[in-house]
Amino acid sequence: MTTLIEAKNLTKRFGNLTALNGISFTLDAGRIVGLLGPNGSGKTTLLKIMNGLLETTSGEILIHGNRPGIETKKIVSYLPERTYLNDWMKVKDIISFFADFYEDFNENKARGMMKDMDIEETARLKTLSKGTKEKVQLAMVMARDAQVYLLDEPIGGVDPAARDYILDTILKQYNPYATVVISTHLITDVERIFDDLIFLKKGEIVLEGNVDDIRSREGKSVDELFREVFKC
Amino acid sequence: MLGKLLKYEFKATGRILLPLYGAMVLVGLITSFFINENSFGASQAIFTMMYIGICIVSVVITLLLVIQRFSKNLLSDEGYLMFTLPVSTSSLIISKLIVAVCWGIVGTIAGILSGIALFATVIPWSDIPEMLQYIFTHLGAINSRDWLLMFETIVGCIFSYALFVMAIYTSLSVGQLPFAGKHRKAASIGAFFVIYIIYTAVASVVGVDLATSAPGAWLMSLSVPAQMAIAMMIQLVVIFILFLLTRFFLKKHLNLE
Repeated sequence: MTTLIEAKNLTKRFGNLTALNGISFTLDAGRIVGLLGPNGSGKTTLLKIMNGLLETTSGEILIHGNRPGIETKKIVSYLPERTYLNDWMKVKDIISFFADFYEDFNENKARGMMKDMDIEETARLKTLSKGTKEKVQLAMVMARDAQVYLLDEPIGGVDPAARDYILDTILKQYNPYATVVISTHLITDVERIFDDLIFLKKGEIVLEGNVDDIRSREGKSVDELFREVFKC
Repeated sequence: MLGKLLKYEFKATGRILLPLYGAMVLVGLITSFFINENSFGASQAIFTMMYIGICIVSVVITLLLVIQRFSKNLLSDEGYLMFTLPVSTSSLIISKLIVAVCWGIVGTIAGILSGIALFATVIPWSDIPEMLQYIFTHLGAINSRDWLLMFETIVGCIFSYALFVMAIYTSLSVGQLPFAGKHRKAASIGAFFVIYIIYTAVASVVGVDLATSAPGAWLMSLSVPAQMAIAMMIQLVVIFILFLLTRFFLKKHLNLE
């Protein structure tokens, strides 16, 4: 098992607010990891630090041995919670854009996913519904042959049928060289695909480990465990 | 990677500015058919206003686009895409600057062409070949010093515009800093004024110092082209400083909402 992501005493403060409080963990290649926690627990902050959108206050994170930068961005495929696509572009334009900037982008796969999801390549992004835009975005991210996939709430705004399609696509990405980190609240749907879990609460890791170990040890489903750990 | 960023930046801006500048020239041409009569009535007034209108709109939209390409494409939702591309922060900034300056040049040329178009109906077109002949044979009469001055003036204008654009970028990135908090726009506007206040203050202090000192006397003894060249080099230094500031703010303090 090769370690792909390593966090050492990672701390991030925004003024007086501590979003991440000295967390440490390692994530191995070939694992699908659930990053779970309530709003404000630090999940998005952690993902942003991993893909270079935020600097750490102290501590460090290494992706394939490198600090977040151009080299890690080449191998990290990130799906943020919001739509980040250039509105004026058409679907085929954004496919060319990704193909241009990412060597590991598989254009045929992207086109195939558009077909599967019934999305016209000539459609202008501006005219698409929010849910459709999110599907386009997800397709772009998953069509990359990346080593790390960071997905922030990938199934939040989509219908149940699309959710299954998305989860199956994520599963298909599974290869011994890649790590998929999924941050989500919708645990019942996603539970079946996780290998490992990290429970984040107020910037600290309160539970982590292999899903099966946790399930047998605690004797409950991940969803039930989540409700218990994060009871209001 | 810079080349690719430039390609997309030109695409994103060209789709708005090319039709706009084209319209500016076209309206100039159309207007010329109306205003070069001896009378001046309603249609003359309308077309003159349309022409002035589109010129003003072209300037305003060009300026708004410079701001928007930075604030929307880098510091808003699209920033999640741009800052996770495997490109350096420097190339993100430089690509925007180059494209902004290019459109400044193209827009100016379009403005001049549209001004000429305004007189399309009164220009003696059949005489043009002869006029051009005359100009070309007499180009040699313009001495190299005047060429140099013309060249420096044009380049100086370009540098001033580049400085202006860079100051906008620096101001916008100030909005990412922790102290800006929720008041990003206000912080950016404030930063822009602070930058220009500092720039003019330093310029005047240095100017006064120089005027009363030995280096100043030496500078004054230089030819005008040489003085202009020094002024332009100073502009480049300021642009570079602003670039470094912008890059620092974006690298260390990027905080997309």
